[in-house]
Amino acid sequence: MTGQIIFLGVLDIAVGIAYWLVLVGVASRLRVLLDRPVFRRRWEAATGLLFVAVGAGLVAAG
Amino acid sequence: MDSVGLAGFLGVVLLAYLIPGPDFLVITRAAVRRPGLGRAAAMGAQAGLCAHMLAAVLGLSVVAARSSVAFAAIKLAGAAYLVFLGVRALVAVRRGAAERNRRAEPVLRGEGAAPPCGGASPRACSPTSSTPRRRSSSSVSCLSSSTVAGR
Repeated sequence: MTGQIIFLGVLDIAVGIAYWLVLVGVASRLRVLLDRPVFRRRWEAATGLLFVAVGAGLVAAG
Repeated sequence: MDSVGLAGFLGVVLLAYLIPGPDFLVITRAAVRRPGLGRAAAMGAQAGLCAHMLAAVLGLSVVAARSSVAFAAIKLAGAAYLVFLGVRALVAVRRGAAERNRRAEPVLRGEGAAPPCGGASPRACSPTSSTPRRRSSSSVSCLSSSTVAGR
């Protein structure tokens, strides 16, 4: 059982690493577009609000 | 585990990764700043997952899930960290906006404007300002004064 959990865990992490590296590659290719001040400001604001909302939601759910 | 079960597991894992969450936002934001930073953020997210997996293997996840106090403490710590990240991002946005306003203020007040064009030579009225608005206004005034002088 433990071996199976480890195997699935390693598989999960490997899939995740591959996916994130692809995402980083795509994001760095779109850097010219995504790094515009207006876009970046909106992205930062949306990220901040989303994080606060998710955190508040977690606390509220508990 | 048979191949069907493994394929199902991989499908669920891929689906879970494809749905954007906080890690997606953090990694994308870091990758836009610098690809190396994005890779580091990705490795950080996976390192956190490793810790989670290790806890599951050691049975700590079951203990945490069964003990309501431990579970609530972990959940609150995670929520507090997310709120901290969110507030930090919002403060950075606000600080950036304040910085931009501060830079724009002298332009709006007209500080550092070109000297009045009272000289005989139009070259003396050449715009020295770097802002397009001031340059255009001073060039207009220079043009009008040179026209007047010409008459």
